[in-house]
Amino acid sequence: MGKSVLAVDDSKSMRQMVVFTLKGAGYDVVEAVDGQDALNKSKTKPFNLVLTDQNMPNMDGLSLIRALRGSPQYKQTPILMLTTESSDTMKSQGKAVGATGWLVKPFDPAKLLMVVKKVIG
Amino acid sequence: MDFDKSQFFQVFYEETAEHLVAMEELLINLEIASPDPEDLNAIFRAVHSIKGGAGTFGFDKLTKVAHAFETVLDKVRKSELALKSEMVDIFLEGGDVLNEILEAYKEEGEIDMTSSIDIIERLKVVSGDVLKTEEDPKETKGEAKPKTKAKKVPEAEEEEDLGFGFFDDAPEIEGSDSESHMEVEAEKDPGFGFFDDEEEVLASSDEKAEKTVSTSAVTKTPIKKTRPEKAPKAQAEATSIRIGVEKVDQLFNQVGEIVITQAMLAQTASHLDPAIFEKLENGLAQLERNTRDLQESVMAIRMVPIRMVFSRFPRLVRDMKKAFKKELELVMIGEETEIDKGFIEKLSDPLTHLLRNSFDHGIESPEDRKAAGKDPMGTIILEASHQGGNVVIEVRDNGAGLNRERILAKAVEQGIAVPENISDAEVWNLIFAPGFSTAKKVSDISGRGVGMDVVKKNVQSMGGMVEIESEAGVGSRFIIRLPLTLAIIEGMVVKVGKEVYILPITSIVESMRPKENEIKTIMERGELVNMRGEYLPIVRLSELFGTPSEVTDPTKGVLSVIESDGGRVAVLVDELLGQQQVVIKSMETNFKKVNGIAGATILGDGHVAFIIDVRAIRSFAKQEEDLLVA
Repeated sequence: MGKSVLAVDDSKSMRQMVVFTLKGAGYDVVEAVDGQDALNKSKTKPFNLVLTDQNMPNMDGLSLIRALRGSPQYKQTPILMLTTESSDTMKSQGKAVGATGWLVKPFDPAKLLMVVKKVIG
Repeated sequence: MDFDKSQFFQVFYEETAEHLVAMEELLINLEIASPDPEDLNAIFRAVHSIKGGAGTFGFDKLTKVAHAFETVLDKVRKSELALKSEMVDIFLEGGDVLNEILEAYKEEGEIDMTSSIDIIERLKVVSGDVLKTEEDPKETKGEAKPKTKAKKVPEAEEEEDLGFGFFDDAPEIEGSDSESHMEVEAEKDPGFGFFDDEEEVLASSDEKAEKTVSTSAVTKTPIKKTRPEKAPKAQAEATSIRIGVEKVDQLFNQVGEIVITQAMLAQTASHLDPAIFEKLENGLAQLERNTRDLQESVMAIRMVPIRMVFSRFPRLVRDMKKAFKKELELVMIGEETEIDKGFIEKLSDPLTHLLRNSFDHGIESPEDRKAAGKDPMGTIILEASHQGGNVVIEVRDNGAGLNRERILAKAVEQGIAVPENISDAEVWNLIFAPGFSTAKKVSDISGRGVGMDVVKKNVQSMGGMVEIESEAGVGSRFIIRLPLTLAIIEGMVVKVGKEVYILPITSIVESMRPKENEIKTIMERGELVNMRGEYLPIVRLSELFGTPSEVTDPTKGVLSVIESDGGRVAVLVDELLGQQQVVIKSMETNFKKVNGIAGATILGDGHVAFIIDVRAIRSFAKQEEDLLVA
């Protein structure tokens, strides 16, 4: 059974690439275009992993993680930040809101897959 | 992992172009003194997304400029830098440079980095980053580890830095160097080894998720290609789907076939006695309505708001105002008016030229306007609307109006034959002649004489026409009329012998039956008709296509004067059968390219009629003419 991943990014090309990479490896991927969209979709079914961009309109990645962590269903679901910002500030912010890890953009599909595998197998 | 990223390029190009357009609009409308933070954020996000995508897909040159750009924008949105109007200028130019690079990547052409280097330098100057390009005090927060550079040069950094990491639960944020952390992780066998407490969590959440998934009986098929069918899932796109143009065209064609079949049925049924076949008649009438509705709905798929063209003009006007000291307001009306997507690109040039023309020749200087008792601030109105079966786009200004004397003088100077008592409308039409320009001095904007004829040509190539109205001292109006779609034209059905041809209505100037004394034959190699003093070559369709005609004497037939590229020819046909809308079928796809034929259509009675390629006919006539001269 494919594990399910919620991929959140406002950039369509980026989403497509994430989806392509993960689907190719057998994951079940649902796309969301921003934090708000992701939050809505997170309620439709429990995902095994949330993969989110930081900079998005309507609701950014940090706010999304904070909101997800506030719901019992996602208290412990792994959440990875996929972001161009890899500064310490960003990392400590990510950690503070409860992110599981981060992956810097631009990323290599193989690396994405490796990190995702590490987290959910 | 073998991975072809190029499959995502198209989406990236489109996305980036959209970001650039959105950014430009935001920049132009930015309140310099008190910019809306949300707008600044949106501008930043646009560049940020471009950078992210460019980096991922390997468009390094785009990444470089976007990066410098982003740095400045980040400072502006965080209020570390106060916005100035010069900055907006540089940002706009930055957008232009990004656009150039994007186009170059798209076309797989050479990328000239001079403008990039220049803009990067200027962006750095603005951001105050010239001397310490590697330092961003906001970010380092005292802990100047080399990896803070990742923000600055992500592409270089990626190799050394692993580029990812995990936060563990140990309360050692300050001391924990995620880099060393990662190294440990990376050395370990990838899997579930490093987050002890997390493992259980993961397993349990796995179970939970899998239960739900299995009950919902989802079959997992690893899809090789991400296709737009994913799109409806995304919220913001839930109301739209992306479809290939060829699919829409196919649908369009099939509807065209239905229209033809319906017309054939209607024609057949017209011979029937309505008293006996009442139900059939009613059914056919309903079929006609349904067909028409269907046709309109399908046509609507190809329609996009004209805003896509209009949106680039505020920038143009802004630049013109800056370059020339004129006060001007651009008013855009009807931006939601929908036009065929195929027109969007083609409309840009002619409208740009008309706007420049109005700005340069129409709107007077503030002093002149004051002296004439006008508001020193000129106005150009760009308005789009649907009128009948046409899209009408108007560029009107409240400037000086066209100068009749100057146009006439110029026409004479250029050796254009000008009849006596020429009407205003005819004078205005003179400016469409190739190479015509009345500008007193050649300016940077217009007046190089490469303008109005091109405008007319472009509009005609879309099956449309341009009209001018002007009043001295009050202003000018340039009116472009376009058909609703490229796939249907308004045609004049003409008969030549047993053949039926279609002449596009928009290219017909007039049709007439000549008198004998108006026809001149030269050395039996060519014929001319005298149209009120102007000699036009006569083209016999029957000779051109080698089909016999019933009428050989022009005075017994009809001459349709058609115009293309500023030149006119008289086409001899047997008779005019009437005017109707025809669905264009491509000759190339169904048969092969035939010289002189632009396409074909099927008439209501089932006959195939060829649509005349007006430009080809005109150039054919021109060759004849040249032969005559030689």
